[in-house]
This record gives sequence, C-alpha cells and structure tokens, in this order.
Amino acid sequence: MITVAVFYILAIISLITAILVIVFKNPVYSAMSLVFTMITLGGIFLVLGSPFVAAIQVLVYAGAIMVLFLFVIMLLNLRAPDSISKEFRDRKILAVFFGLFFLGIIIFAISLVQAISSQARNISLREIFLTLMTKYLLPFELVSVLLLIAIVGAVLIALPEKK
Amino acid sequence: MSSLILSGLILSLALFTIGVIGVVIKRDALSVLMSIELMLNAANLTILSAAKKWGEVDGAILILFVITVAAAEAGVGLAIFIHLFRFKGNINLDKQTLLCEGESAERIYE
Repeated sequence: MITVAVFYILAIISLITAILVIVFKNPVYSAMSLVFTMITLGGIFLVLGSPFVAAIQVLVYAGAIMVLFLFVIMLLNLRAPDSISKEFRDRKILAVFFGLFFLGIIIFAISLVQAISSQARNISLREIFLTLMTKYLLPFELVSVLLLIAIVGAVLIALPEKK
Repeated sequence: MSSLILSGLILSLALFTIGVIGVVIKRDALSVLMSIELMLNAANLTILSAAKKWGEVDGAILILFVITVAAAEAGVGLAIFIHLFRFKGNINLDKQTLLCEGESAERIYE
C-alpha cells in the first residue's frame, strides 16, 4: 500500500518536472528539470523492484550525462530567448493537442492488453551480473567497444582545428 | 502489483509524449537532445515495468545497455553541436541550411 502511494507521488513529480523541461525557455533551467525527472524516475525504478538499475540511473544518467549537458550549455553560453520554433510559437495549443491525440491512441492500444500479474521480487545485483557475464557477454563487450568509438569520435569532432 | 505495472506503462507513455512534443517544438539543438533523453528514459521505464511481470533479469540488463548507448549518443551529439557552434555561431535548428537543396532553403526560411 505504501509502495503504491510512493509510486504515485514520484509519478506526479516526474510528470511535472518533465513538462517543465519543455516549458522553460532557458536551457539551463530545462536541464535542471530533466535532472529532477531522472532522479524521480530512479525512485520509480526502485519501487518497481530493481535497486541496481535505480542506482545506475541516478549515477550515470542524472549524474554524468546531464552534467555533460550542463557543461556544454554553459560552454556555448546559450541564451534564453526564442527557444521555441517559429512555426510553433503561435500554435502551442496545436502542438499540445497533437501530443494528447497521440497519447489517446496509445492508451486505447494499451487498454486492449489483458490483465498483468506480477511477482514481488527484487532483482539483485548478483543475478544481473551472472546473466551479464554468461548470457549477454557479447553485447557487453560490444557496448564497451561502442563507448570507445564514441569517446574517440567525440574528441576528434570537437578538437579545435590547427591553424 | 499489476496496477503498479499498468501505472508504470501509462507514466512512461506520458513521458514519451512529452518528449515527442519537446523534440517537435524546440528549436534549440540542446533542448531537442534533452527531449530525446526524456524519451529514452520513458522507454527504460516501459522495459522495467514490463519486466516486472516475470521477474526476469533480462529487462534490467537491457536497461543497462540502453543507458550506455544513450551516454555514447549524447557524447557524440554534443561534440557535433560544439563543432557546429564553432562553425556557425548559433545552434538554432530553424536556421541550419547545410543539408537543404538550392531554392527551397530560401523559400522555407524566408
């Protein structure tokens, strides 16, 4: 019972901060709202039964990726005004209506799914790594190669040109 | 418990929709990238809610991979934006015309 209450509180907070991400014109405020959204999503992951994924979400997503975003926003010194596209500036209501229509279609699709039952069991770290090292070893190695490529590529792209 | 899973799915749907609206209406390249990250988080929530039904561990591993790939993509995307900013002076997505063909560029961006 208390897990359901915590879930709904976190869900409402994450929805409000997610809406604030697109409402704020200043990119720094937007990024901070996204950090809050990710942290509350980490809490929701905890309620849904995997504490490890929740920890990884807060550490990696909110802690590293969003900090990188904030570095770049402040490095490029982006200003607040005019962050909403000219075509949509006068048609915000149309944009929201389009989004709600999309939402309605998919809610209808989900309502056709049969009742979902579940087990009440947390996913432990030991299980995750046993499966990661045996069944998912190849994707694990490939993802590390992908990270290496991304690092090298990012440094190469962002290097200043030699005069 | 099943209501938690269903609520998780609906919440991730709402977050995904908010991300889609953000991608469409924002003209700041960094805000678009942030909305894409929001969509990825909604997908993670979907994966975890659906994985809770069976209690298998594969959902958590898939989420780890998604977070890692999102980190790589954000890194490269930000590097591209830094380079674009150095090259053009702004990251206004409405004003990028490098990939447009001849006359249509002037027609769209008056």
